[in-house]
Amino acid sequence: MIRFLVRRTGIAIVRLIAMVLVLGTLTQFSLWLLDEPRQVWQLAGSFDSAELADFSKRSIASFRVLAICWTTVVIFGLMIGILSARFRQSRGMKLFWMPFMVASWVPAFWLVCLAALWLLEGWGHPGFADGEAPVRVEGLNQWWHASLLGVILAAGAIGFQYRICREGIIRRGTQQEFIRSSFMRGHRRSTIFYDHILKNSMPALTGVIDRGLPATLGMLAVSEWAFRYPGLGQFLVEGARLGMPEAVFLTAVVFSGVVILVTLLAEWIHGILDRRIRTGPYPIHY
Amino acid sequence: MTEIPTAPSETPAINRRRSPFGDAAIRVFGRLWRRRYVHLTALGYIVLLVLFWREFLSIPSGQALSNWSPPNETHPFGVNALGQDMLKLSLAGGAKSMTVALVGAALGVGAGILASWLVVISGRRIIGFWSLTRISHWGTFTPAFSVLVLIAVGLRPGFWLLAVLLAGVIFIATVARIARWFEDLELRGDTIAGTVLGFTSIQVVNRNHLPVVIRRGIALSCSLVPGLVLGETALSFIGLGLVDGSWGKLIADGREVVFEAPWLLIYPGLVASLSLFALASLGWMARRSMNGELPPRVF
Repeated sequence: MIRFLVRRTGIAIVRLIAMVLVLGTLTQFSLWLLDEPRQVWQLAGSFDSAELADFSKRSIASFRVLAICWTTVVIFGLMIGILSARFRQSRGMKLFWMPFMVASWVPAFWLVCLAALWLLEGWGHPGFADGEAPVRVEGLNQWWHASLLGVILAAGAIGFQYRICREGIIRRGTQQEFIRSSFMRGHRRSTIFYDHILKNSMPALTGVIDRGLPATLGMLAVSEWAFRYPGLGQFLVEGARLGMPEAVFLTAVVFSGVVILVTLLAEWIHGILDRRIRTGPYPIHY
Repeated sequence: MTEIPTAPSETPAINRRRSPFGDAAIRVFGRLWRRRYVHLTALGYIVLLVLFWREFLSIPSGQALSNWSPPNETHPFGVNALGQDMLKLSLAGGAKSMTVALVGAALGVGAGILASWLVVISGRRIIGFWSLTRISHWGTFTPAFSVLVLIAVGLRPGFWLLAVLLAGVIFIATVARIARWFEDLELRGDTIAGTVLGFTSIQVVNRNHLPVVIRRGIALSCSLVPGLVLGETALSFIGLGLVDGSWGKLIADGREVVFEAPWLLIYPGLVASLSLFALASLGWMARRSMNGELPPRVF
């Protein structure tokens, strides 16, 4: 067990280093295209201490949104995925998860702009996140804006997550021979599903919690800028618009670190729950 | 001595074998037709829109700055500050976004098929398939949107460059899947039969594997298009994608005046959402018709 965890951690560190190198090369390429004399290894000189302090504040603000969003996605995505697999033959139940399916194709940055409009018209709030705060309690307004962004992003990501759970894992489980023979022998559907299919799929279901994260991070960046929320996404987009690849590089490294960390967690959980994954040559089969 | 009968110079029509590529194309459209003819209609509509959008949708040129007007009977989506009809602008923006996404998806999946085909033809299958799988594996934890933004900062891509960038993302995301199709086909009985009958490896691959892979590739491309449209819209929204008249640009313009003229924000986004959902359901139906797999994550 310890050997498996250490090995996966080592691989994650190698991934992070490789990702930093790739992103650094791309940044240097962009600097070269922009005819900038700066080099990517002189990055530390591009930001003063105040800017770095601002960057760490922005990171905390973005992690707040991500924590709300991803917790919602994992809980509801798994729950709806399992329910939709269990009741996949019921037409009426489709109405329950159809809104999530539709929401996954609505541009989140458009929705947050609508939310700003709704805040002003319906609630009398200032609209975008950089407006004058109506709530005088310290920190509460940040959580309000973070939850607004997090819920909108989660609504789209749940649509992807539940389809991955249903189609990728549980549907394969239902097509196995012993499941069919159990059905032919007259066992109840619910017994077959909860006692066999779901039980066998649970380790693999934990291994896919990171699947939609890169897409969500991309949409988070754009939505933060759209909502004028002071997070990493705004830093990335403003840096890109002002022609500062260093800002994009720094944010992309943080995003890569988050994805690699969540992937590592998914691999750990999958390996701990499933002995075959722990002892096999490749821990996760993508 | 018995004379060996020679084949007639012209094969009778009943014994004539159809082209494997033609056969694959007929299967694609046949299955689509059997499953949901509505989707086939939608596909035709999209193709027409993409091919002839310039002719169908003459965008009104920016006239002298006039006051915008809210939706009315003449302009159901309202008019922007330049006096342009928002309905026409939204449709034209959609055609642009869809065109770049279609080109990107086709190029990316095509490059994946080409790379896998070259691996099979070269005979270095084990190391070749392993390398292609590793490419996709590393792509799974890359935040693709940040990488696209990083490249776009320097390049400021136009239509074709953006299509190539999107194709690169698609290539990385799909190449392992396409390589696996070739690997699976290698183990099938008809491949072994073809080898036993004396066909060369290239003949077996070109006549047996390639039509199946192309058929599945079309379905895969269809399922990837909505994700690419969403990505292109997001890039345009922040000013790094197609800068003239795409959905993202229209939404970004509407965001600036959302409290004064909300229709400039609401309607382009509504058209984008509905079109993306229609494209996504078309892609999923095409994928199911072709008995393919789940589309991979892209952005």
